[in-house]
Amino acid sequence: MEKIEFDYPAQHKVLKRAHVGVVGSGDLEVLLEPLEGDRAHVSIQTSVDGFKDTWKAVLDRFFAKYDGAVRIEIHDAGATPGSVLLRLEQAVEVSQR
Amino acid sequence: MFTYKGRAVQTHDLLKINPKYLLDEATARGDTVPGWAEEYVRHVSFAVVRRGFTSETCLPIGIRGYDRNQRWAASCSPHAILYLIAPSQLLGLAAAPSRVAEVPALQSLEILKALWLDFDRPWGPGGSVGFELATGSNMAHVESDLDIVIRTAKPITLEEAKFRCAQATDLPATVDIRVETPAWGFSLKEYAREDRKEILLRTPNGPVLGSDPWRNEPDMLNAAKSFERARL
Repeated sequence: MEKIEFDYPAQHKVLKRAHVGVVGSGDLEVLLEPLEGDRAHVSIQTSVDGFKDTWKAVLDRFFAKYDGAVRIEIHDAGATPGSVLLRLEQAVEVSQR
Repeated sequence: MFTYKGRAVQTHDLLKINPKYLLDEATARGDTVPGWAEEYVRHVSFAVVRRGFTSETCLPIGIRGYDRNQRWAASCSPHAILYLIAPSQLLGLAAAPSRVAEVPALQSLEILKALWLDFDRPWGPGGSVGFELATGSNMAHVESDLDIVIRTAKPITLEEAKFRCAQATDLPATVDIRVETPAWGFSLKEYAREDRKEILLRTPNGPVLGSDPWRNEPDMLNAAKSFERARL
């Protein structure tokens, strides 16, 4: 079990929270909620240790396109980078609905 | 399609493999064999069928070591397979009573077997519990979840999904139920969720979001393919 945290600059206010995904083998749960200020904060709790660089690469890619001021909490059970990106995009979609 | 003795091989099937063939094939393909795996496969020569690109001669398989970080994403040909066990066949195998007493995931399987006597779809354990039952080695840990695989082409209603999820809640271990249709796999828990709109469908080409897992749209498989290519 490893805890990883990242911060990214943000520009847009987010109004709604979102909860997508499940904590199950190869999947993850994403909780997204509005955060005051001009940054986004991500905290990841993962069952698979030693992949901090991979998480950073995936989140860098996600935040290259997304600039919402949010707190994102991820509970990961060994998801692939593809599933992580899909869940993050799903969370954004739900928060904009 | 990859068949073994006339039977379609599916994701989550467990394979007893010939370690020499497996290692020779990996070397011939130029695949990297992790340090721990070479010795390991000679002792525990079992693999699980992974989701992914499959041809008549090449099947994606996963080798799971004793440690959580020890996973080898390998491939094999039909020649390397000695026999095949589907998750539902594992219900007929029992773990040692001492193991059931100390591993919550094994206890949970015993409870679920009693609760699901009336369940008429093929189902069985996957993950570490499946490996333990197939190999007879201690693969499950005290913290292990119980992974369950249900194989069905016949739609599961929302009511049925909720009922089966409720039965699998509050057992000694967390139970993670994966439904496998001929097209893809998905989480029964996510499918049964009241507020859900789209769920994650695991296709051989990668994950994709879809609202109805019972509607098999070839477009979705292509979407998954382009998503994986574009994003990774």
